[in-house]
Amino acid sequence: MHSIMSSNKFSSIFTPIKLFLYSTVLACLLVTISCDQRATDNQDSFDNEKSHIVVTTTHMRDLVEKITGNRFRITALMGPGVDPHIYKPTSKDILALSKADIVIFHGMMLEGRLTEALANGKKRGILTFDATAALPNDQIIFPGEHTEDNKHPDPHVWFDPKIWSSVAKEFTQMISHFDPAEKNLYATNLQSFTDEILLIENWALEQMDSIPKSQKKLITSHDAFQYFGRAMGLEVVALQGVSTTTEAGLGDRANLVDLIKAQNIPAIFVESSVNPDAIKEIASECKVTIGGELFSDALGSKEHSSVGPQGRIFPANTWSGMMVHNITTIVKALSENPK
Amino acid sequence: MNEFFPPLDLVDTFWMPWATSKDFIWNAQIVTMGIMVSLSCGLIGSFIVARKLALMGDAISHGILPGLAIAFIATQSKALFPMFIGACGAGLLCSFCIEWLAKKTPLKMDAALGLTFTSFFALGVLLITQMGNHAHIDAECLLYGEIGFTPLAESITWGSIEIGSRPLLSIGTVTIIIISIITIFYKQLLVTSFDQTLSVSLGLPVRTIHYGLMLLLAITIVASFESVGVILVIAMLIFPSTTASFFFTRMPAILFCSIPLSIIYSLGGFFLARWLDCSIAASMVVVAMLCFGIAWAFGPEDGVVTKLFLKRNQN
Repeated sequence: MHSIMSSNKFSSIFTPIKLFLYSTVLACLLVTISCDQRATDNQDSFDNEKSHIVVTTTHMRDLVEKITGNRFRITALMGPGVDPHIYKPTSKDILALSKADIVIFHGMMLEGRLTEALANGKKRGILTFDATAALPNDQIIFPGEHTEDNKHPDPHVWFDPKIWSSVAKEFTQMISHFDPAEKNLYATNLQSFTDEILLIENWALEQMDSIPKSQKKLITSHDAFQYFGRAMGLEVVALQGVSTTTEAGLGDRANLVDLIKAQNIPAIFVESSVNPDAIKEIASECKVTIGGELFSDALGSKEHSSVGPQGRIFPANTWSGMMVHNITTIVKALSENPK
Repeated sequence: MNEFFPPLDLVDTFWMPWATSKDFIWNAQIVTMGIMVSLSCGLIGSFIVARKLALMGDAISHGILPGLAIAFIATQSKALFPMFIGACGAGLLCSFCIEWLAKKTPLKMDAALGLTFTSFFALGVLLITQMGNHAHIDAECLLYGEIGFTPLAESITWGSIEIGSRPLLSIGTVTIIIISIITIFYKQLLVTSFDQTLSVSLGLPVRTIHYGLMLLLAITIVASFESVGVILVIAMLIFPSTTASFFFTRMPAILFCSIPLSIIYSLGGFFLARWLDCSIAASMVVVAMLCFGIAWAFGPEDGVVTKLFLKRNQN
């Protein structure tokens, strides 16, 4: 505003009224150009025969793909390695949402503000499906259970194979209702998906037995593995809270360091979707090894795969691949004798 | 570079958002939201910038955190109304502390500003950590919205008639309040913004006007935050009036200039985001930056290129 008091001859060209006129002309020009474009455009790239499903997280994408096969066009908002707690939508994501026939989201505030927005979408005539809404309360872990306020469930339910099967069942029910013609296909797909989950679960429990009892402790960046620990019989300790947006306090950090030193823990783990620096620092302070990178809030990419039960290969962009990778990494690191 | 700048598909970028009525309604809501936020922030920002308090918006946006935390602790819910009251209260208190430190202590304004809002922010973080292990309680989740989600927000119905989406309505109300207050108290606001001595000798209630303006600023910030997030708000408080000041010298012209500017920002940002596939709010700020760059170079009032040109003509 340095020029409030000065003035020169150019200002007469830019009186408010003239400026308004200029911008109107410019706007008209823009509109004309876009109308011209419309005349040449006769193929609508979005007008596709298939209905369009938009899913939020990578886990939900895998589940929806497994159940529906290629019956729908599926768009996932979050790619591999994206942390859903701090995900920010791009313009294309918003576009995908506006074109969706159904939006499937994880719920339990995993997607932060997006969960809230999608929960409202229902009232605005957009078909949305909260995948975890129907889970019974006694299966869900509430982090602040001993305090009065237990309204905030731990959203990382996919780590419990049993819960993930029931989420798949809920979804199948919903999609069969939406598209009754292919009911049988969905039922068959559900059967093979739950079979695979069961296969992985049994294999995982077998693998877990090779870790000495005193070393069954999983230490990670943020508190995503409580369900995993419950299902696999591991004690889980994390540096950060359930959400990656809560910062670790100095006290939490000191406690964790003490715990690692006192209990002879052989390895701690970093997560693919969380900044690994804090855990690396702690590892060098306590002189423990980094056991490897675990997939927590996002699945991996197609290129990465690991060998699971029956010698089968599971790509890391699927739920099974994620579980196999995590189990192999954890078992390998924790079975070693501490130095 | 090809990956960074995808080829510009004119049809997809400029026409597709408006092709069907469903698309039109959806995207028009986003663009309208952008226009309203830029307009309300731009109008109030003109006075804030004239008072040499450009970063007051930044200060208040951080200073509201303890208010949010206290409102959350008191009501144990994320209901909007108590949050709003808490945020406005904390914002006002923050600006009061800044004013007090700058007037009653040897501290200069900028130091007072930095001191106060960082303390308020730290206090807010402390309160939030102290609230324990609640999942997902942080400013990000409590308050910062995302402009792209505007069409998804719940709509307000009056009886059986649907009026419109709530963020749009609340920011619309704020815009109307700002426009009417500026129209009614224009003289007072203008005189106190530019000449403190004159306004005191005219017998104007300088302090009341100042805090009234701060309250208005706090309300604008909270209402816009809640719908569009943080970057956009702070930028829009400063960009419109500084850009316009390269074209006009008089306050009314600068105020009117916020209207075309906010339309350019909003539409331009929308299209830019569409082209580059990135965040809409950030694109709007980039467009604002480009506009400012053009004004800085070619503006008739002290534009750099214009001045060179005039100098050459004189010689």
